[in-house]
Amino acid sequence: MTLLLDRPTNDAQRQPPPSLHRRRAPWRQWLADHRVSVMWATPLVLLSGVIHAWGMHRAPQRVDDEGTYMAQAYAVQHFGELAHYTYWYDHPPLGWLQIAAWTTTTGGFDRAANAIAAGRELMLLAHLVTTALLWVLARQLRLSRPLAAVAVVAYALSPLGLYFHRMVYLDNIAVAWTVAAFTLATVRHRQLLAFAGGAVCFAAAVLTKETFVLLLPPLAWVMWRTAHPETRRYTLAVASTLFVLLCSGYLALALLKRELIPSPDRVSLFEAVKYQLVDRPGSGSIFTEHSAASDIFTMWFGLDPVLLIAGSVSAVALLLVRRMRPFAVAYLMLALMLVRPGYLPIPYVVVMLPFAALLPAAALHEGLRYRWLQPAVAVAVAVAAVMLATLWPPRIEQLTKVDADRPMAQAKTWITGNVQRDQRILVDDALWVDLVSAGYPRRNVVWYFKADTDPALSPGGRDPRYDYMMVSRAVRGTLAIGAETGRTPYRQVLEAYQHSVLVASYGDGADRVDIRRIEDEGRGS
Amino acid sequence: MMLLGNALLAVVSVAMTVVSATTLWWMLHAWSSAASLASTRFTAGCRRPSLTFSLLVPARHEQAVLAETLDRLATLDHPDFEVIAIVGDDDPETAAIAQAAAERHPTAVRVVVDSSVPKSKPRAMNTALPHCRGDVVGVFDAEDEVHPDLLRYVDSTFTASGADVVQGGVQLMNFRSNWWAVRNCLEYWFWFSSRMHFHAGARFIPLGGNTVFVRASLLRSSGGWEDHCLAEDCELGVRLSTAGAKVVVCYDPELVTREETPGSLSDWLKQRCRWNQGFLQVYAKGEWRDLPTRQQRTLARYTLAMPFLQAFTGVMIPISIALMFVADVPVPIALLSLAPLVPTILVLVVEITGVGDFARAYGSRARVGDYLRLIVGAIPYQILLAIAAMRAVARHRRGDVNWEKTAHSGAHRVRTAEPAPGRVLEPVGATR
Repeated sequence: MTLLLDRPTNDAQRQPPPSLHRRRAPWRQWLADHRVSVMWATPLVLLSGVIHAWGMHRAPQRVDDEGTYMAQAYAVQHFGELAHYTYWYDHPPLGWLQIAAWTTTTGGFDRAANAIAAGRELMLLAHLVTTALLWVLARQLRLSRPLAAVAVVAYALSPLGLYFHRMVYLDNIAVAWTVAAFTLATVRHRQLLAFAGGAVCFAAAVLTKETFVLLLPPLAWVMWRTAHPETRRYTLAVASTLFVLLCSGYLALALLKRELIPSPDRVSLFEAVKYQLVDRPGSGSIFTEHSAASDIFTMWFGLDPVLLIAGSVSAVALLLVRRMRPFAVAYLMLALMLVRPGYLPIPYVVVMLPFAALLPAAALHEGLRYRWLQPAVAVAVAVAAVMLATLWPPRIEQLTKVDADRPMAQAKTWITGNVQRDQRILVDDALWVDLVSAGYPRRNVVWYFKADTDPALSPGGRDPRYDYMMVSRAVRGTLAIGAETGRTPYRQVLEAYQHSVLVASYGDGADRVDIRRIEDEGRGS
Repeated sequence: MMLLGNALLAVVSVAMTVVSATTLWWMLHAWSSAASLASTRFTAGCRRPSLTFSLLVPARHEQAVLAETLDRLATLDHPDFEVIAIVGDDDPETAAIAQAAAERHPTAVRVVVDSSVPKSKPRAMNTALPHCRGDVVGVFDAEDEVHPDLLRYVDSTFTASGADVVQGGVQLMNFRSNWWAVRNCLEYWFWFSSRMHFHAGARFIPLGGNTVFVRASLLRSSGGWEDHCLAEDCELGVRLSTAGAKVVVCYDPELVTREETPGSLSDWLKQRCRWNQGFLQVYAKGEWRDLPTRQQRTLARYTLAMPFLQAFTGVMIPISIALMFVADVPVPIALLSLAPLVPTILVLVVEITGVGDFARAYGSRARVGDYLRLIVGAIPYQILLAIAAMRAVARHRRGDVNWEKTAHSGAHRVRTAEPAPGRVLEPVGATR
């Protein structure tokens, strides 16, 4: 008996080996089918990530708004509350709920150098997602790979984008959801699921930053154009109903907390909406010199005029191209909102940037198709290239190399070394979480913005005493309100400032952060 | 204690959301993509016929409608088929009508007398099965209005796809008869044009009771229908699915078999209760346990339990929402208990879209009254479904399996000399 297996003696009888072509895993097959696109897109997304991440904790300097969102995420994670002060429905809470989900799963508050740094990590992730989706959207709109690359590179390298995408703004999260929604709205296969997914993504965007609802008409337009006529009534009915139902979750939240309509001693959603739309002081017109709106617009334009001009010109030109018309209209609508009177948020430009990057690439695509347009296209590209080459590098360098945040970090160090735990300090929200997690009691670290606007901080109508105050760019801006007229809604902050002495100062110019000790004469009333 | 209550509410809410979402997805299956919609039609077209058909028409106390049905069936456009009317030995009026029809169409129509006790549809069909001479056995109900070209299309489908079973579409037509008729008609619309396709693709399909065609050899080797089952169509489908049969479902508004809703609510209740009980019997019989993959077995369990899950969900949702306002529930749990509303409202919106689609497919226009009856009737209809489900469970436990028959009066038929397909929507002179 042999221990070896008998070898087949007759080759003809030998069975051929089983086929090596096993069924591939679906994702493997997908990778194989989209090999070329993956090879193009991956380095672009990586480039975008590297430029974004290089120096993202150093510049721009941490600001008040970022601190507010991180503080609210901190409150969700550590206190089980929707905000660190009373939640008054200024924005739907989904934005900082997502931040809280990030910090909870990654241990962000414990791990990162400071609270806002934890949030900026999430902004990097959101940016990578948006960049990748922007590529997909460009390809869905039938741009060639080189032109889609142009759109992605413009989005990634624009100093204006670089500045705002790093900061913890709700807009950055919402824009990722929005580009996802537009991408899904252009899908032609399995439309029911795609459109439903688009509705869910857009609902997430609107529940993150409500101003993005402005993009609902263009999105609906894109879906209508993409929908197959035979299934259109069902796909659009499902998508629109799903969107409305998910957004009404916000109303349900207010209803469940009994804060939907005004009632005494309670905040309400109704009043918050009224404030945002009607009562809020406007920023002035962008055409009026030295109005808040004009300052904001000058800042945007100063960071990157190329993308804004290219985007605007392309939008007007693309009104003639059927396929791109919804996107051109979307951009122009967003741009027109700039000239209306009313409040202009500083990060408003974030919603325009994906379109501002996409539209010039699409315009190039159209321009290259017609011979008689080639000279104009060549001139435009040359001008843009010259402007890019001169304007972008110094700004990119500034954002990647310079440490604008040092004054803020130094100020925090001073506070933790000199302010006692039982003393009260008025701070810019940028440091709120860092101080509270360093052990300062919540009631002693007061966001300056709430000193005059939150009745819970002034029990019995008496002004509380503060020992120190921190003066950053945001506080200086608030102090300037009513400086000419002498009337300000931020009375306590102004009085605290007027009765205080400078004890520490770091940095200079707009990035300067001062600490002031409030003297006895200024306390209480 | 509160924690347990909240946890229970959360779990139940998630379960109800899953059930509603599944209902929604199965309803929308046909419209999930343009390709999907195209595949729900008779894709094989109309080729040269090559098969022979035996059409079974079991009839019991159907004297009002049987004559017309048999006349129409006898004149179907196909070169080689036979119609076998099955009557009970205790039903002389219907037997006479059938006999008269057989005399009018001697080559096409034959009559078989069923003397089994007690009487039921599966027993009748099993009695007739040995008399079938065709390659394919088809089943029709005594009140059906069948399109003349149907057999040709079914023939082509068998030949082109190599199917073992072809399920054609059945559609209730009298959607304006009363407040619940529109919902009943829409159920058939979504069931035959969409859900059946999903099941056919998933290879687990509870077949319909008529306009279903099975290869005679397969039917015989499987042992025909299950005598004791109240939903013998579902049971046959489960048995054939387990055996790996290939089922093709085709729905085309032109070629669909037209039927009527049950005459009264009590008739509707009996019919629905019978179906629910049948599902329970099939579940208990356990034939589905022989399905090859775990995924199919889970789908089988879920499908057979669906009427009960849906009924439960339908009445639980308003209750859980009321609970949310009455009891002191934490906000996240309260929001979760609202989650089942999302797919439920989506189902309603899809039904509203479906009414327009259905009316247009059959040459009419949906009116405000139709939409109102649909929306306002939603909750009452859910309650009725729940009652039917509970009645079915009660009867099943009692072992009560007699066949409760529904009466047919031909409400879906237009009283003209030549009944014309394609224009029958208004019940003319329908009395209830």
